[in-house]
Amino acid sequence: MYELDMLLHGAQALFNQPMALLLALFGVTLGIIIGALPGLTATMGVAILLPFTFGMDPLSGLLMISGVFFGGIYGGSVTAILLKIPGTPAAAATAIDGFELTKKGQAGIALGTATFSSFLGGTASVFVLIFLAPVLARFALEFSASESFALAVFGLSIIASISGVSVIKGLISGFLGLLLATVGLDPMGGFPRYTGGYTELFNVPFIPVMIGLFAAAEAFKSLEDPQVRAGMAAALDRIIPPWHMFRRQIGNIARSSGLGIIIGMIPGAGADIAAFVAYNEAKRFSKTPENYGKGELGAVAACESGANGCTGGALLTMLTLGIPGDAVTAVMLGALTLQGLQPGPLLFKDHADLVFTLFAGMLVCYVMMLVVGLGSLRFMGRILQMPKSVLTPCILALCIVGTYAINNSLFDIWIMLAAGVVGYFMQKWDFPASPVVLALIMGPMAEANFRRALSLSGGSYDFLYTRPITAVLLTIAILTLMLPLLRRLWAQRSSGGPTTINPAAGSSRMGTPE
Amino acid sequence: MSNAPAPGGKVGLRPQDRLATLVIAVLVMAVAVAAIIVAGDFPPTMLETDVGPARFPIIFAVALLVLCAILVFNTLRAPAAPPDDPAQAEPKASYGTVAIGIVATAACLYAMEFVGYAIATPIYLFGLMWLMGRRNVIANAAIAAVLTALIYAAFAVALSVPLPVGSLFE
Amino acid sequence: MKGYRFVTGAVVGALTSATMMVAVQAAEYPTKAIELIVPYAAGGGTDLVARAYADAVNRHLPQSVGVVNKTGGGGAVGLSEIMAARPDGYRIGMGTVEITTLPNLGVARFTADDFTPIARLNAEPSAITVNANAPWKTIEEFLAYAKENPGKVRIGNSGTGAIWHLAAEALATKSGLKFSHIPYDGANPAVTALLGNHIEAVSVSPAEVSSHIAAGTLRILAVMDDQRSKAFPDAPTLKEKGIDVTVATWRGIVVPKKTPANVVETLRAASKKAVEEQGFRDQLAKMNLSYAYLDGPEYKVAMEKDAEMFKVLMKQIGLAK
Repeated sequence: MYELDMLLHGAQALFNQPMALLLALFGVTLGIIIGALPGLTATMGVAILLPFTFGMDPLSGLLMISGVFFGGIYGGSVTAILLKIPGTPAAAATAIDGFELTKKGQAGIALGTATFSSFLGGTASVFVLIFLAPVLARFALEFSASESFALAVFGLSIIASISGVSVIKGLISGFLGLLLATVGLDPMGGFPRYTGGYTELFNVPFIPVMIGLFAAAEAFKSLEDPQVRAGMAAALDRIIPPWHMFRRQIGNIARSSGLGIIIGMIPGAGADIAAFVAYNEAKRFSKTPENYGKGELGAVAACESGANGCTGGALLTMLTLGIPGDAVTAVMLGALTLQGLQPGPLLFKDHADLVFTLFAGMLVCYVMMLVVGLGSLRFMGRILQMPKSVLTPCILALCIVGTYAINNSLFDIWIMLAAGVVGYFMQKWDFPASPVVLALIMGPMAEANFRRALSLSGGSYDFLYTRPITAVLLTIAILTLMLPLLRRLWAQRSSGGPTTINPAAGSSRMGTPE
Repeated sequence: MSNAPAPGGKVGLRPQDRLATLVIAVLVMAVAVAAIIVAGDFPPTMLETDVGPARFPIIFAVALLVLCAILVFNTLRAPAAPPDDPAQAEPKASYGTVAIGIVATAACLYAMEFVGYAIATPIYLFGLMWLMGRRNVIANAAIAAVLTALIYAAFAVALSVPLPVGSLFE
Repeated sequence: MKGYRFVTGAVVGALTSATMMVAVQAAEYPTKAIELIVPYAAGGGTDLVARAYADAVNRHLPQSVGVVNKTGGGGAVGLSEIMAARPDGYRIGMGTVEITTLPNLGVARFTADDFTPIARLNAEPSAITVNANAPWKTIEEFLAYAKENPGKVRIGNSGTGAIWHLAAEALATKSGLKFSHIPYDGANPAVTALLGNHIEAVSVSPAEVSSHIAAGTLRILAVMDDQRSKAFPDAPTLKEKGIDVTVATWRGIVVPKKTPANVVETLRAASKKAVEEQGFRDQLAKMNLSYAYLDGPEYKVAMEKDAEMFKVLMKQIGLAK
């Protein structure tokens, strides 16, 4: 087999270059730190390192950047689970159940599962990249505006499954997020909407809102209880999940990784979408969907394997077609061109040796991520042994600094604070925050692509049902959204009175197609 | 969670939760109406086949109005909770502390514009620790200084992400 | 102010090493690190030019130049910030063609007159590129098809009002054609759509499609430049074909208008030395970016010419507010 042969050659070449391996290790470690810090994303980490790669040989530079990419996607989970600070947008999905597990005293197992799932999802995606790249390459090109619109609608339908206590409240949060997502320059005409004249609002300040809603709101909440204030946060407990627990997640991880790889290949869709979609499907297939949102290990496994599954998928389209699937790979595309390498079909022909050495290096990067991740968890877990009265101020200071770091803008911090206050009240009355974040990710994608698709079709709405991928995705979206609602309605009617909507009644597992 | 449902059972609403939910619903409806009014002034784009910048915000806002109406309806119809259900009793939360914490954060941001990160942050950290019941002044000062330095080291030195210097020092 | 500066120096001590402090006292400007504001995201074309420049100019200034990305509003946020910066030369910026287009859109607080140009570093023309499977082998065939099918030819651009949209509009007005302009979220997604045959053409720069040209999946029909591109000598210019349209994006160093003359001179001299370095030119070439140095005064002339052209064009097509 050609690929296997080349990969072994690549591995050999790789181990003759200890410097490249060392830089990869540096990249992975830095990536984890960057991912864990709020406001600093994998994109920014890759951009920060880019100038340092100017003087390096292509392999070292690219491996270091891949390391930051992989580590950055994973690192977000650490603070999401421990502190409910999603270091990256993808980790917002992890935070939903991860932080609940921490509150239950199972932070260690949540972190361990997240690490293993990230490793497995990422490794699987790199293998797909190595062996199936030429077969899958054309897939990304099938995605036009109408398909992207349908994917976004499917993503939005997930609101129903992350709503928590009340679907109505979840939907209100979601639509509020969608409305918020329309702030800024209109994607087709460039008209500034709801900006009040502030140029800072021309793009929706997505990450400040996310940090505010999750982390700052949680920190404000911990100010309110005088007893908790003095106490310790929570125990870490064991890190490596016991085999009987982990075994149950294998199917879940395989499915989530697959979803992540596919979503990673789609241009304009990245780890954040993959994490939410993986969450939704894990819940759909779970035997205990009612536990989702209350601290379910499967949710953490799904989000993390989905998010890291994206890495290989995004690299696949970038390397084979020269199309960056998301912001990180866009920067990596720059890094490749800087090294005089032109991504695209010719890359595999002209630089096969380098490409396969790079692939071998990426696999090594994931192993490094597993080792560094597991090794640092005990240390990271110490955070929980800090008294809350030190931890909470520290979290708030991190929120402020992290938000500032995104755009070097004080304006963004005010947005973060406002989101934090709103988030505090939302939490108080059971309006979930994650639908807002999901809507902020998917809303602009849905609107821009719907209007673009309309322009592409010359004003005809045919694209909604004549294009197979679009039609299938839209159907799944409608079913995902409607089935739990119908079921609930039915349950209400049969029980003969209004009940406060109960997640246990809304198991969306049975009867949903797939 | 103020009205977490007992497994499988119906749950009543305490009067203050009912009121709060109604207030929130009305606020959200006000936002939605405002959004629709403002969207009315959005000019059409020059692309012939485009639906224009106002279409989507209006759809979202109308959906919000409908959802809020349902929420109001459900809330009004929900049965009242028994007045002194011991299961519903929560430990008394001190909202004053939360309010002070939020105001302190705002003050810190305001100060940061002028005096920068290096001065605003340690004072803010110190204040919050005091607020959360740590009364050891010297230890708090030390912790505040160390945390400020650690964050500075991580962001500004290691990752070369600049932190606010403050307009007084520029 | 000296005292304050000293305090800052102590606070930001990590940035200034002791050896540099000695050098600082000799020259009046610069005495501390210079911020180079890039109005676009890290890793994009403008950012790459900025980082290559910062790398080169650092060898010709006693203080370091650090890149800071201030994104948002299609460049409006960062450019506004450059305009509003204290005119002391410690906050300089990457001025891009958007300096001349954004004021017309009514979304910016600045005009081209609010900046003093220091040096133009790079310029990229627009090009009409189609899929290699497309029936049109030459620009004439393409334009003839567009004439027969008004509104049927979909040209992808990097956003409404962005430079590549204006380029396609300029071609349309000059040749009396009607295209369907499809805005994308940047040049890359537009190229992706072209690869997938979802649109007929794109108007982005040759650099942005070069890897696909090399792979034989896309074809450049014409460039909107005065001369043919060195990298793609086979693609004719529109001028050769009798259509007088030249539209290009450019990137260079600018400072706020009120910056004192000695600061401007220092920066101009350092920039000149930086761009003359072979390393800088090689760096640009590696990234498929064309070297297009113009000194301050000439840069100013080029900027004013574009400002006038876009003002007329954008009014004509109904974009100007």
